[in-house]
Amino acid sequence: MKRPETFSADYLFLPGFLPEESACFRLNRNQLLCVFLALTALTYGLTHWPQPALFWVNLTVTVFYLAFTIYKVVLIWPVSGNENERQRNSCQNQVALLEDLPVYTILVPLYQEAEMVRETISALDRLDYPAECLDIKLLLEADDISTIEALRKINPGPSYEVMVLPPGLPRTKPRACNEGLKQARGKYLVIYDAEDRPEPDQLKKAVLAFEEAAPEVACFQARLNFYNASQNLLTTWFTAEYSTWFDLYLPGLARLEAPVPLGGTSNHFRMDVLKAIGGWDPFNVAEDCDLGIRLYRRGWRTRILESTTWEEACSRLSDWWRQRSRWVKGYLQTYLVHLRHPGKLLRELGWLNTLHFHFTVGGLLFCLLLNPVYWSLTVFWLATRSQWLCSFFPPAVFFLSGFCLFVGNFVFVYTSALAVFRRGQDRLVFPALFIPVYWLLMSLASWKGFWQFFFRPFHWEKTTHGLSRERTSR
Amino acid sequence: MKSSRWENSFVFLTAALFFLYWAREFVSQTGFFAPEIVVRSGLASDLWADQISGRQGLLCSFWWPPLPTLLYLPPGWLPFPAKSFLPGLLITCLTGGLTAFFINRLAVRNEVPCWYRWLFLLLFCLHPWYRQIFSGTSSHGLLLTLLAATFYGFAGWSQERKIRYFLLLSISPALAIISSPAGIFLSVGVLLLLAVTSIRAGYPWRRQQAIMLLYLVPAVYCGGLWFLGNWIVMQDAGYFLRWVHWKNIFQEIFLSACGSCYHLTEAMLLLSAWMFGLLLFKLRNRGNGVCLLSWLVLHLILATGLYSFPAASRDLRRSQALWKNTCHQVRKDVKVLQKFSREGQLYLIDFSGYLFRPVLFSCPGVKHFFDLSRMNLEMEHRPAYLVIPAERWKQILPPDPFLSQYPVLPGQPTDFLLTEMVCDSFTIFRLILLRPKD
Repeated sequence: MKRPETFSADYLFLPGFLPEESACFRLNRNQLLCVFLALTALTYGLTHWPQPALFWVNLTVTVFYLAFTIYKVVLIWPVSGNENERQRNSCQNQVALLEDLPVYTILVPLYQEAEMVRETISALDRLDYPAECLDIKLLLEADDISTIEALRKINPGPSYEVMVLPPGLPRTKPRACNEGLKQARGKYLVIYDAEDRPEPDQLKKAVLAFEEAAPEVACFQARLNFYNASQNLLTTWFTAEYSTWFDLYLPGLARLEAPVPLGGTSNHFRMDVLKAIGGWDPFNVAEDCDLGIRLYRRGWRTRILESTTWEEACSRLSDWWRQRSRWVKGYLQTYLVHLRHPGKLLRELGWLNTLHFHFTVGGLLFCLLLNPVYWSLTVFWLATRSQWLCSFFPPAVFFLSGFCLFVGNFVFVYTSALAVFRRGQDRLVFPALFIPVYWLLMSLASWKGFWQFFFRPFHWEKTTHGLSRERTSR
Repeated sequence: MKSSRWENSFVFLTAALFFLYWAREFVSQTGFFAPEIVVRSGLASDLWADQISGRQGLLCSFWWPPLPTLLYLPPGWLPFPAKSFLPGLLITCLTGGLTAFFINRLAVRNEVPCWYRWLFLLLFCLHPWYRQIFSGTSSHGLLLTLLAATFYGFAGWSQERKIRYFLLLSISPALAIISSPAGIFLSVGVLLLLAVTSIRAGYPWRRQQAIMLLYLVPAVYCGGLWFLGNWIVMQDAGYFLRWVHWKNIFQEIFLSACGSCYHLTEAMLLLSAWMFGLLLFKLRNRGNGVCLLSWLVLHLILATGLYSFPAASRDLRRSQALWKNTCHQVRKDVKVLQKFSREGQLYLIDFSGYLFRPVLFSCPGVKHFFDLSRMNLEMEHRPAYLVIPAERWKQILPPDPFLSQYPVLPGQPTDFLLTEMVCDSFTIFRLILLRPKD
């Protein structure tokens, strides 16, 4: 892949976007030097003083795990005192009184979604918003003949505009969104995926939320959840994960005024701000996460919208596997992009928010990558009672590790169960208790994403939609 | 009504300081720290020293649950002198302060007038039952804290349905199980209470199931960890239940808690009644009958607390005198043990052996064990002595593996002989090296 300066800025990057902030190359010179030095020091330590070196590595990882556990609890605790329903009801009363609604742009990137478009259109038609105020752009790739044909047959209403994008690379969702953004005419903008079913009053709620929010709030992230949660164990665990992430962690981050890594869809933006910061990074496969951090760095804030968009959870392991590895790859891209100039990051975010960034983006990543190593060590010790392994766990490290293993993991499991309970998804509570199996899958997918980061960094692994039993039966 | 941060902090600090004072008073009256503080401090220091005795003592007895010992670990890491009981005092302050905090928060939440809140806080801080429990124990003190937290969580959950309160409601009884043997009763009691209130609230069956499941999971997990710990350390998952007599479990838990006469039952009942009274107080607007009943209950509790005050004070003085005598005895015994430790290796058995530790700390030949079958005696060049509390001797008879390793009869092909020596509060067994017959 070429360096950013060789790309046509007009074509790939929107005005306001700095190519240096793009994932179009992996590491800059300073980062390469840091990685080289760290690896050299580690190799030297392991070859010359293996015991102390492993001890210090172990201690560092243990302290990281402990800090990560405490951090998650700190995020959840303030949100655990919220009452969703009450807030939602009070908001609904005000939504009904809204008048003079602004034009709202909806971007729907579609690729190989011929089977889904009918449902997509009907979900958008259900939105409670005046048709004349809607600017819906269906973004299609030129070679996706089947979806174009399907849309032509359906012939959606006048609010819809079918945009066929010029062929080009990288073929990613953010590139399509940027094309849509160039021609968007709304005051606000939101992205939906093909399988999304937003709650009908979501746009009105977003308008109300923008009107009531402080001027620095540029984005509202709606909560995401799944309509096929009970389809199989995978979708159940996926739902538990989403309920925890969108109902507990992200509101916790927003409440602490921290940078919020956005979810893939249902991000409501102020159009002027989105255009000013240059839209999405077309090379980043977790462009949502990157955009959330970039918004914060430019001084804008994100809040959580009290409305849910129902999506379709991947019900096949192969699909889920591809999606998850892409997310992890994107998180790694985002983490490294924003760490290209750590001093600048620190100045823009401040100490506390830099810490938030490290935990929410980097911490999550490292946890997923490190977990299998420590799980293997635990199983190995239980099977062999190896004294050699014990030597890396002197009492202080052992107690901290034990705390992370027995208390930390329980906290995460129990949080998942509580998250689905809080959402009223009672039948998911029991399966959610077995979510460590899902963590194992996540970790394995993460290693795939990590591998892909080096060998196929911009490859967008498409998620197949429309597999849910609910749809099939209908 | 919301309690201010100032009031929360004030209540916490007041109670913490009171119980710190009572702990100091305990030491000045008896000349020694409370036995549980001594034992758990010893266990924590063994854990930090990575000794097998620490791990065994942490997990091996139903009557000495692990959580209070674990609480001694973080302060044990701080650079206090090795013999210091500051961790124990910190835990006394923490448990006492937190209990008062939860009681006060519940009272404020249920709009109990300030006058009653302060009166009960004073009663709580001064009443001999609570003085004895918080300054004398860690496990029962922690249990009362968790009891108060559970009630606070229950009130919050039943009134507001926030998961923060459900967390308190489910985690606290679970932790109580690994804090004190009486915690099991708290856990079962809350389960019943939750079941009744869920049915009364008219939840769908699936919602009720989810609530019960979420309530039970932490308890099962805590219990499971205890079994797992026993399997890892003692190679027997159910080891800690060996000395539990299930037929008399109720009497053993409430009457002979840690071998002393703590008024745990009365203290728990009074605290529970007060918390229930506070819950009832919230309902006083539902009619004159409920209003009258709530006032009656609160006054009855205050009256009971005040009425029991003199008798409880006498009991406290009596138990302190008893402990003073025990301490006196321990000091005498220590002098004997010091003589033995100079010439050989001392193996102290069981929890009560830790009572000698503060004095014997400097003796190099003192080691601690809980399970004789896992003892590895190092007695090639020095005589070795087993020191077993006199009243425990019949329970801790050397098991077969021990006897096969260290046979007691002369004339056996190998090694050692056990001879008995009865002292005042413990028994010393000398292990003698025998020459095999030619």
